Amino acid sequence: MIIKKIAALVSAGRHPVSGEARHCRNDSLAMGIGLALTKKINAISPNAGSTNKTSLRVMHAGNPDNAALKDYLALGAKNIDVIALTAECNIIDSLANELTNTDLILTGSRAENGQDSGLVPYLLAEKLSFSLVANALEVELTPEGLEVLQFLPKGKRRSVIVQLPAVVVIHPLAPVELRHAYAQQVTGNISQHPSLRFTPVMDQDNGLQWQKQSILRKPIKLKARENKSGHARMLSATVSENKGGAVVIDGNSVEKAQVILRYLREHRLINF
Amino acid sequence: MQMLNYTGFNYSVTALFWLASAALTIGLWRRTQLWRAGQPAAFLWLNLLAIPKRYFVDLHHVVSREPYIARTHVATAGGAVATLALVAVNYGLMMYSAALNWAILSATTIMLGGVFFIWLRRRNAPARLSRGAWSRLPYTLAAFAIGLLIISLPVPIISGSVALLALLLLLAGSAELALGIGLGGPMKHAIAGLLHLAFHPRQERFSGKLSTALKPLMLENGQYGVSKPSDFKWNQLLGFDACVQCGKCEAACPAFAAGQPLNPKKLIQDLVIGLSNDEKSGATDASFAGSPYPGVAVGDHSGSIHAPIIPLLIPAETLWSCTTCRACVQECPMLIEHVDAIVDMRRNLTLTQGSAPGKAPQTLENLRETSTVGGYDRNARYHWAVDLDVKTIQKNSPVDILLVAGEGAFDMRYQRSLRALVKLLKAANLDFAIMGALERDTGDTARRLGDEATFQMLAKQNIETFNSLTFKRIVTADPHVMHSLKNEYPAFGGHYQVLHHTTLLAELVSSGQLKLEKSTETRKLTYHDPCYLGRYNGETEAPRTLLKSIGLQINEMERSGLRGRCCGGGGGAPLTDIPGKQRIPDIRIQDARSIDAELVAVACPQCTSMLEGVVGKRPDVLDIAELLASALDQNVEPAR
Ligand code: SF4
Ligand code: SF4
Repeated sequence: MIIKKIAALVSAGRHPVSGEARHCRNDSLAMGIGLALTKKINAISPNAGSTNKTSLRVMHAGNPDNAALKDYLALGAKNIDVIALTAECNIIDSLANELTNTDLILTGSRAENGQDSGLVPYLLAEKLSFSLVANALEVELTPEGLEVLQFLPKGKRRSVIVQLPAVVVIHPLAPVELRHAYAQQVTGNISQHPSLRFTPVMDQDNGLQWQKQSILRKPIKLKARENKSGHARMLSATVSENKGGAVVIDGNSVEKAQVILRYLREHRLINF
Repeated sequence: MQMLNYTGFNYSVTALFWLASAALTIGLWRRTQLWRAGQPAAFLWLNLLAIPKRYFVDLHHVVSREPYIARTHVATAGGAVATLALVAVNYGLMMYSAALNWAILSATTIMLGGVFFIWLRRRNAPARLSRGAWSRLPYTLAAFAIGLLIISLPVPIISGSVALLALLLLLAGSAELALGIGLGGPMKHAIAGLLHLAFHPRQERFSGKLSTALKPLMLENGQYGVSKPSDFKWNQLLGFDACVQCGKCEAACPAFAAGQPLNPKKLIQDLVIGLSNDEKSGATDASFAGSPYPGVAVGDHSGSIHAPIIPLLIPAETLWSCTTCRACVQECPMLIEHVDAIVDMRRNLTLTQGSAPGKAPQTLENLRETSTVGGYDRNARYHWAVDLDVKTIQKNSPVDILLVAGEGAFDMRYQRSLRALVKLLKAANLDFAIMGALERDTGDTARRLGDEATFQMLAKQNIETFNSLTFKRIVTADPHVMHSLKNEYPAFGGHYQVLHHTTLLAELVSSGQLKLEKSTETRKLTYHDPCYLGRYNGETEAPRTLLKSIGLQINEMERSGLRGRCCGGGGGAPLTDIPGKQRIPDIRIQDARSIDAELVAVACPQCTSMLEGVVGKRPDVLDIAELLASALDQNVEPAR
């Protein structure tokens, strides 16, 4: 199986606490997998001419001046191709237009900003008629095709082979070590892609017309307050000891319920 | 016949002298070529004139902490220098005067005496001393001295065999002195050491000032720290070459004691290997005859002047084990700057590879994205003060004192110390304000971890904030904050008067503005000096004065004051968390236990959390502010 053109799509992230522009970690993982895969393929055939080399293209659709992009440079992107779009524009058409000849498109699962719908890879795959694999943890090139290790709940994993061209959506828990190096940020380059001759269309379902409201308070788990000192907590975390509590096996359901009720009352978790 | 023999003999000493001088000159020239492979640094010939004062005052100040070796060294080196000078005149200039021979005789006797005591100590050498070539030194020096002694004897005992013996001894001794220097033998320390005193990278050290601030990197010029030995400044390389392998740094190093893979002496020696080999010779550390990096075998580290240092010459874990406590610098008789070297190499790893281990990358990311170490909301930094009725500083409303809480403000334990401090400041009726959401981390941790880019970003943002506010002094309870603001921000244009809370409180107590009762505390108390307060800022007295002022007696631990032992919390070491045999705070608490202390007074949030993190039965840990606040006069209501 030959793979020539890999693309990693990166979005502009936003720190959940400070609101500071930053890389979207999940997209960085996708880019990291792309960087590692490219390096590995090129290492197998080191004598391939520069035209035959596998290349990774890091792409962003949005504001080329977004401060978040420099994080991707620091994380190893030599160059970021930006399709300059404003927030109202539909990015799928623009991206699809740019990525038609790509063998493999790597993306994160969900952006941290904007519509945050997680649908971009699906819409893109549909538009380009590419296969799509979601929840990917590892990506390996084999003679049969691209072998993708998928995340399943409860620690299960599944390995699938996908034919190219494909969109592979990387899972947030993919085991990629990200290394942020300032020197790479300085040498890296952000370029607006020149070959763009495509008029972006306005998104019908414009996210900016949505109403925003702050999240509702989450339900609080009832938990007995610990009155232990910090030192005692440290002790119980480091020294194995009986953490207290009782296991009730005997008695009927009413009696067992009484035990729970008593516990809740004792710790003032309910007041009736 | 006798006469002729004698003259011939004198001639051969003269020949030997000039031969040795030539060898020394050539060797010295070779050595300087090695140093010159480093980067340019300010150079002033005039500095050579400063050597005697720096030698007799600054260097001796360190050496004299160990009187035995100080006296021995004075005798040996003094004797040797006098002897050499006299030989140069009497034999070099062919005077052959009997009177000068008498002088040579007495000088060599003094030298021989010194050598004898060196030899005596070598027989029972402490583990920190290197052996190998250094064990040879007493013998070659003795050979030199005895050879000259015989020659200068007034009685003509110069019969053939004795004369030959004397000449051979002298030859052996001169080889050590003349050839040894050029070939990198132990005696190179004399020349490199003296030149290092002249061209030391921190000249301020010799004007009685503390010089502890790291030097800024010119990031815009592509300076990303040190990757190969030739990336060091030439005078840093010269400094490494001055090392006498006395191992005082090793004995003081908390990381070494904890069994982490760091030994500052070995680190310097590895750099010497790196600086003295060209590309072709892959020389190794096989001949290093001292303690290794704990857990790392000696013999397979190699490097050369233009080859990357990490990982072949020095393992990365070695660098990441350092707490930047400066105990090594404090102890080094050759005034070598280990911490600068370590941070220089860390800078390269962080800035070009982003390879800081453990939780360090997450921390650096937090600092970039939230301006806090822990990734907290900056608006939450002063939540502990909501009920204390403290002013938050506003633009255009001046205050006397700006209280900067630092990262400790997010820690529930340390908030108690901060609350105590606020109570005290109120009791003293001070006009102060907290910084509120305007405060960003000083970037201290980023800087120690080598992330100069993030540090400079934060420094510039903070300076901009400070400059928009009006205050007279900054007070902080965090010595790391203090060090950054006071010592490191000036390089970026931020000049502030910064005080540690203990300094301010001591001032208030002595002026009577803060009135304290005697403390009711009866437990046996000791005080732990934070490295960044003591060694970095020279403040060891104010905390002690304060404790005494409330009637507490301080039982000093074995290592205290400027020579205090680190708690393990500095330099980002808890983040990189390099495994060792034990943890540094455990060692420090053991110091307290061994004097039966029941209470450790501290003055730093890092020390508080490191020492309180020690499990098992241990002394209580209280900040000085907490101890003082409990001694506040309860009858006086603080003015609102
Ligand atoms: S670096 Fe300084 S303290 Fe350490 S061994 Fe060398 S001379 Fe001694
Ligand atoms: S600064 Fe402290 S931890 Fe680092 S090498 Fe020196 S003594 Fe060891």
